[in-house]
Amino acid sequence: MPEMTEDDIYRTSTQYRIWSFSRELLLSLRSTTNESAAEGVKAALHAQKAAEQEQSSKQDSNGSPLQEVDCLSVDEEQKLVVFYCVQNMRFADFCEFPTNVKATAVQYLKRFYLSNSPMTYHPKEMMPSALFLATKTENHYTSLKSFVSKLPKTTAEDVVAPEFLLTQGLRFTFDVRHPYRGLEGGFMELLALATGKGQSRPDNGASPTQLQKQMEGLDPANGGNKKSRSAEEVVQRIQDAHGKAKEILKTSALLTDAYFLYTPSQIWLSSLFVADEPLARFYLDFKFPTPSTMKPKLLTTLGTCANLLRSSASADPDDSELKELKRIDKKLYKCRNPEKIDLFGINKASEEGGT
Amino acid sequence: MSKPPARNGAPQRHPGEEDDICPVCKSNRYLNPSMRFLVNPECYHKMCESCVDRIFSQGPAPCPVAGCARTLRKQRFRKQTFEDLQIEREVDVRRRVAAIFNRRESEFNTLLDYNNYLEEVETLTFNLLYNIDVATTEARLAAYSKQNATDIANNKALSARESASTEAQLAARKDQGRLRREAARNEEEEERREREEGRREVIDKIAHSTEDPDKIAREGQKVVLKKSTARRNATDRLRAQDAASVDNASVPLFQIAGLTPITQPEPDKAYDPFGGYVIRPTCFTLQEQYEHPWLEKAKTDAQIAAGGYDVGEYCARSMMEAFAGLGVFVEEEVAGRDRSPGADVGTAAAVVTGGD
Repeated sequence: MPEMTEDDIYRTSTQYRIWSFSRELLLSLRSTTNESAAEGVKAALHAQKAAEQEQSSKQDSNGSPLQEVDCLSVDEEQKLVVFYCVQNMRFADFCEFPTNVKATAVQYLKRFYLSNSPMTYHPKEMMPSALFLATKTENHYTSLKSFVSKLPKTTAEDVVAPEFLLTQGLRFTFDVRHPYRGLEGGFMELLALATGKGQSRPDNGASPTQLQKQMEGLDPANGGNKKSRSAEEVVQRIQDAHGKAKEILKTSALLTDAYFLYTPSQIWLSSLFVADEPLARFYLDFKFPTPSTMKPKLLTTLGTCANLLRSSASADPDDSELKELKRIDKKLYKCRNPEKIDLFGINKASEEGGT
Repeated sequence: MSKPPARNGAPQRHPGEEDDICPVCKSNRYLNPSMRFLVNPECYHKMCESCVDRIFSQGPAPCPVAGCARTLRKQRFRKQTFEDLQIEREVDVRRRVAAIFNRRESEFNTLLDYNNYLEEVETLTFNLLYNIDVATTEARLAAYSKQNATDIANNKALSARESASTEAQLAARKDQGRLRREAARNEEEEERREREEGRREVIDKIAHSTEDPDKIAREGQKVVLKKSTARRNATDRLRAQDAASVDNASVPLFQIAGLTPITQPEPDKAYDPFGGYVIRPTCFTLQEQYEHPWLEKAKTDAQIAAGGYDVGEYCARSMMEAFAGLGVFVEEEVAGRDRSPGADVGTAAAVVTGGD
């Protein structure tokens, strides 16, 4: 009978098959998207200008010459998308949606803007649609009516119109594997170890009580100087680390490219590294007691992932960042693709054309 | 099974008298012309309908017949089918026993085994009928029905199917009979008409020709006879065909035991959602119990448990997700994928899924 390990199970997911990339690939993908979108914008603006000139030349012949359009760079696009991801999270909090809905919606936006540019479709218009789609795929039913009533100046059509476009951009893969449940699993096992109820692994000779003792002797987290002495203190320490890790997973793990570059279990372990490195190292030593080729590789991967999580754009942009965002938004106003502004009309036309 | 005990109950009376006076309220048919008698299979004491209404409307009550005192319910009173109550009771008992001991001859290896089984069943029935060792007999009955519950249900379903098909056959036969009768009527009519015509012809011939009238009459009769023989032959043929068709229809109902052993269809295998794959986690062994502040409520709250929430299931899933993909190094594995940088995501997805 064929056997499957946990890794094989993850390899069956669409997140691995379609939405996992190397750094270079991610970069090249974004720049290609940016280039083709910029070309599209330029072509569309030229066509518009030409049509206008034709109109005006009938009256008087001195039309203004075509000036070069200044398009957004990849970096600017990224900043804008991240900002709207933050907005999306705020809005999800306002609607009191659970974490998984929020996180899925953010990932939908990030995935969509891998193959689409903000110059073509404005993130502000995609955002409510992504969140609404996430309520459906994460099994958190919200009626369209009540959802729309919470949004200012938005109609039900505005939410639904970009939906098909969004699902197309997502390649009809709605499953997002989050690191949250994995974190709870690790947390449960750490708690069991700390209270002496853990199971020793067959390749690890230490008994549950020895493991408990080892945990009590761990170095303090993040340069503190107080060592935990009792089991209760260790439990408290694990709970603190859990809280911190969860906070990281809720914000920076979502806003960075972690989901594209790493697997959910690597992400939660990295967040544990950020929150409490000695504890995370102890846990890995417990899992891989014998020296193997995998462990150092895993440690470097976790290290880079932890650095990525630390370097995240803040979920609470300050004044200078806001100023920058305003500048990008103004720039975007001039370089939007005029053919794709009326999403509602496009959706309607495609529906009618399709049937 | 030695001697039947003496019949208990009222002394022998004249049949007419017994019919007309209710043994409980002593009212008779003179006073109440529409009197009906009912019995309860609990003790088979007879009483009139108004007594049943009066005594048992309020719920179960003891039997009013002196010395009986069994608790009876109104619901179970019914009209008796046989005049002799002893027979009524025997039929009930036999029906009950037969519903439990419904084995068929085909289930036994030898005829001797089957006969021994029938003998045993008859002994039980006799004991029940004549109140010999009722307690042990009932216990044996209950034990048997408990042990052989599936066999009993199977045989019951089988006999229900058989009786259904017998009924269908009976209906078909009835239909055929009706058609046959109609055909016979038509035939008779036809014959009468022809005879009439023949006679008229003969009379006409006698009236208009100069031949010997006796000769003409004889010839006419011969023609009629010939016709009727031809017809009879034809109807005989038809009848034979009908009979043959009935025989054909009844062929599958003849069951010859022991010729073809019944092969039960193989039961479906349990559904395997993983299609034969065994999931063997390498990074963890699932503990029987985990502690988590969130789960304390789920473990005890009836509202959550009633919906089918299984804490163990959650633990298994979260442990699996904690390590699913830990050894998957995206950077390396993705580089091996056949894909040129900058290709459209859709084509890449097609390549990846197509490659699997």
